[in-house]
Amino acid sequence: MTLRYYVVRRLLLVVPTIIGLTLIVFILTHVGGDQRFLGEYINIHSPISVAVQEQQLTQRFHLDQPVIVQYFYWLSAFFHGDWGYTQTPIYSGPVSGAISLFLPNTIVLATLSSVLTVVIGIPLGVWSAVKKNSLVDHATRVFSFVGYSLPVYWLGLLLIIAFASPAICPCFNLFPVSGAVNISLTNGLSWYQGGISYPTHVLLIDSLIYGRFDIFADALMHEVLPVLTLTFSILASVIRVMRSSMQDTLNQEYIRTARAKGLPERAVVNQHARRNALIPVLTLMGYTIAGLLGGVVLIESIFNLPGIGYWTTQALLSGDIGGIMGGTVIFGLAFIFSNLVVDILYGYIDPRIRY
Amino acid sequence: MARLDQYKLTLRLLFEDVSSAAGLIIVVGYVAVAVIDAVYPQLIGVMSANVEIPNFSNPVPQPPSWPLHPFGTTFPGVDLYQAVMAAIRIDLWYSFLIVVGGALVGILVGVVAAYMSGAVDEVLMRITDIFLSIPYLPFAIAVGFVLGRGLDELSLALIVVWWPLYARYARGQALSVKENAYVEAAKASGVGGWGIMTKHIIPNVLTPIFVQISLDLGTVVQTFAALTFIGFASSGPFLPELGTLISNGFPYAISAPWVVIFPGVAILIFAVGMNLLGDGLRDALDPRNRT
Amino acid sequence: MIQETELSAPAKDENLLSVRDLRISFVTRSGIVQAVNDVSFDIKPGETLGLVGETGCGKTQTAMAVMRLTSETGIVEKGEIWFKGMNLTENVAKEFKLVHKGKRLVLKRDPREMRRLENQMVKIRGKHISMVFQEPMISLNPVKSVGKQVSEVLLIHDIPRLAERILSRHDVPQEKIDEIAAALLGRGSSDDRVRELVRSYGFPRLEEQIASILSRRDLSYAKKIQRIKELKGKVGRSSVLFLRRVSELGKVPSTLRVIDRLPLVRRNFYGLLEKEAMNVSAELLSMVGMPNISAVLKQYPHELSGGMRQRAMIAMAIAANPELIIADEPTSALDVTIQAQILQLLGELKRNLNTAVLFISHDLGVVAETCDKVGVIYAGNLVEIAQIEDLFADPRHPYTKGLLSAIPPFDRKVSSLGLIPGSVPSLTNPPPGCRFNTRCPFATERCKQVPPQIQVKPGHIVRCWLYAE
Repeated sequence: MTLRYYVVRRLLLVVPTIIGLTLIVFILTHVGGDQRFLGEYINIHSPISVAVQEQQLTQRFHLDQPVIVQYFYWLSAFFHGDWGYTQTPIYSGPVSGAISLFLPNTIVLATLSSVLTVVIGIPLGVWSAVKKNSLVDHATRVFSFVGYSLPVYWLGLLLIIAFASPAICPCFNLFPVSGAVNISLTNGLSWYQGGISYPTHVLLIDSLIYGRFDIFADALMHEVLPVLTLTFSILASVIRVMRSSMQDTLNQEYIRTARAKGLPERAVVNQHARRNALIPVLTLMGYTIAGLLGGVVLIESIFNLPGIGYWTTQALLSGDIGGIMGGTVIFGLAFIFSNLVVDILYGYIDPRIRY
Repeated sequence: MARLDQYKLTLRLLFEDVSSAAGLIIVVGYVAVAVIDAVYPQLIGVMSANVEIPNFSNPVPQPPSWPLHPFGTTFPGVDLYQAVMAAIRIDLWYSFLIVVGGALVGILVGVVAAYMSGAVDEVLMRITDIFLSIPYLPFAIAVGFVLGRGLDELSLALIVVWWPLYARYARGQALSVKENAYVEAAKASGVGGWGIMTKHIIPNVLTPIFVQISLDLGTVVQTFAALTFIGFASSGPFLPELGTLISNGFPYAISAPWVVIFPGVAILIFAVGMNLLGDGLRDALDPRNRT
Repeated sequence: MIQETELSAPAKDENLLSVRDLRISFVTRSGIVQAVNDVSFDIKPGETLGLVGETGCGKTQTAMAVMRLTSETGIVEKGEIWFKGMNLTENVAKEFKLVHKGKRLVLKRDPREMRRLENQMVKIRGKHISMVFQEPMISLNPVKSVGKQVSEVLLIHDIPRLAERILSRHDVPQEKIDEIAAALLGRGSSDDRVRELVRSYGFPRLEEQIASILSRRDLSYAKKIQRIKELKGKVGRSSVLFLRRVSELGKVPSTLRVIDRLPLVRRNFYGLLEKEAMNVSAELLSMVGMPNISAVLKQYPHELSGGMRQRAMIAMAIAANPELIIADEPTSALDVTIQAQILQLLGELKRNLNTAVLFISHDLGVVAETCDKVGVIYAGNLVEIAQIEDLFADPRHPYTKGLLSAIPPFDRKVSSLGLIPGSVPSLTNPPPGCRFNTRCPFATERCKQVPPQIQVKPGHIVRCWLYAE
């Protein structure tokens, strides 16, 4: 089977997975029965009486019809982009609107962290395994062990404390600890309203579009601590897996053959060992990405970055079911998509699974 | 080699390596604290193991002082040492519940799927895959939210989120065990399906799962504390719990860092201990090291 | 007086490979395992030496030691390995140190010495000594295509040859190619005058290419002529400059080492070498009798059968024209019919290429078919070594005699096969002196001392007290 065929097959698999996701979200929203469901949507401060609201809601969500029908209505609404409503302190309105506003920032955070993790983690893991028991190896192992055991949000808090209180650390004020940008810089800008920048909703890009390099620099500084924290916790598990996988690979017979061919050790590692060692890393990548997405939630809450995680947390605290479900859907889709990418990479690297 | 000898060999290998011995000691220490909290908390200086005792006359967090407040106090006037010690039990208890619950459900599903194979296997695995398509933290938030936002409901939510991992793992193990000759032999001598599952497959699946559990316990404790930190069960009246302690202390963190440091260190040390133990167990149970 | 036979001084004689008193030990939890104990043998150029013995007797470890591929816990405690007059084990004792850590002995290695010895071996492996391993499935890299793995050997060791081949096709005028093709068509390829014609043009690499096309088994004669006609191929000017430089220097010039393989320009530089390596790989695969060559080049090891994989490994081993090939039980993982084919292949290659072979096996029958000389190894000791006919006709050592009597004879019925009572001793605590003395029917008190090597006939050496007077 060629790579192309494998990719197509894998793509087709995405569809039933998404259906499964919608099923779960649907079930979750209806756990506890209709009364509970209605209760989340009823606004007691509204001038409309509760009874009338119930009636309206029943109609809107087709609650008088069998569950299967409800699901189909829900599903069709889903594919039309109608993902419900959310009412949180930072945003009220359709969920799709919330997503378009908050998702870009989360993507920035997640992407920066992932790139940093891969760029640092893979070489370090390889190096640590090749130079077994050297100083580098021991230092890396301790480092990754700590990172693996450290609660990610606690690390964030520690960094905040360190960088925000002059008494603790001379690194006071080196990096900002909260928010996405310094408010004084953005006062009165037409393209920055209510914490959201336009048109791309990504401050880093928009500031470049408008030529405001000072805002760009400032926004970048605001990303430093969150990205570092998130990277640190993900890096740990990537290094761990890369190192142990590399060690296992170096013990394989075909590495002995490569040496017997007269390849110098560096070529053995780079051209033979590394590709094979990446395979288990990719296999566990799914779990690592899950951790990344969970970490995003925590980091955004601590550092006050306006992203999906922050929105989800707010929804949790204000009892907004629309927000929670919307967040779940987005995280699910992000996860499905990244697993797809990982699986394709896996098929590219390992020809054995294309069958 | 007899079962008992195998356990003794495992213990011996564990103690030979410094780091896994350290891990074992740490974990045993934590479990001891939890047990003492349950039966005789005064032994370690905890006055009440179920509730934080506020001191409204002095609600501002105080720095650590000996001998009255070794960890200092947190808002509103709660002695941090007592709070942390009591919280250890709560966290450990719930985490244990989650892991065992998840493992039980997961193992059951996985072994049944592996043994029955065919349509049953397909269906069960599809369900497992669907659950696994959502990252665990947001999923736990969603499930916990709809079940209710207390600690018990949170634990249930985490069980719901965690079992698919064990199901997958158990199924993989069970599949390879199933191919083993002794299962064939058992079948040939007429042992029924259920008997095979309980007597042969499950015991052999348990050992690697055990290692997985010990590695997971650290993650579960962290996840549990992370979720309470975000805001689950924050309405409980002064329930000592490590994540809640951190989130309660968050507003005061910059001026009074100890309110955040001590509970976090408690989580960190447990995670370190559990991970060391888990790694050590995995190495000790590796057949290559046992000859 | 016991006349211990003096083996010739390795540096001065005409032997290709000389092993003297080699002792290899492994440091384990339960003690030091003396896997190879004072083993000595020689291999002349073009000669095939077989090493026979039971599983675990140390024959594989001996071979690994020659290539310096011993695993991390193994050390060369003593002895020398000489190859083409070069001491591969020079100062090897400086590399390691045994230290006491509590109750156990732990191995410590000096990284600088390691590097020195490694650097020396890297120049030899693949090019002068190559190896064929026992299990081809796990000895081939699963994620690299077969073609790439064979080409790799050429790209490391034989780049000038590749460059010259390309240049010869570029330089030779088309008319000359047509002339040669016509001559081949008219008079046939074995005609000496045709050979003279080809040689007279002075493009040696071209000659090589024509010869290999002619020797291919999977093409008809007409097709071969067609291929020869199509040999002419021009390359771009910058490529020509690059290739000439490579041919002069003997390798890719270091300044160009990264640039020559950058994505877009690669096609004209390193890419040409890679393609040519693939061509040579195709020729090599044809030499080893691989079916379906063009498909196999792109396939991965798991898509091939066991026999095909082993052929691929052999192709990798002969690619750089080594003087010595070490074959470690190359047929043990294959079934008997394939085994026969591979052995036949090895015999052909030996005759055509005149390579020396160190053939390791547990199967006396296989060894009898392929080897000129045979050494018998028991529990880490080389107990007897002789020319092949001599060993079978006149075995001297009690162990050898026991082995031979255990083979069912072809020509008559026997009621029982010879049995050697007892089992192989532990290599951690071997018996003192001759390690066979626990099972030998002729053992005496004297056997508790290490027996000397006695030459009982020219070319036939036994390590046994029975022949000591």
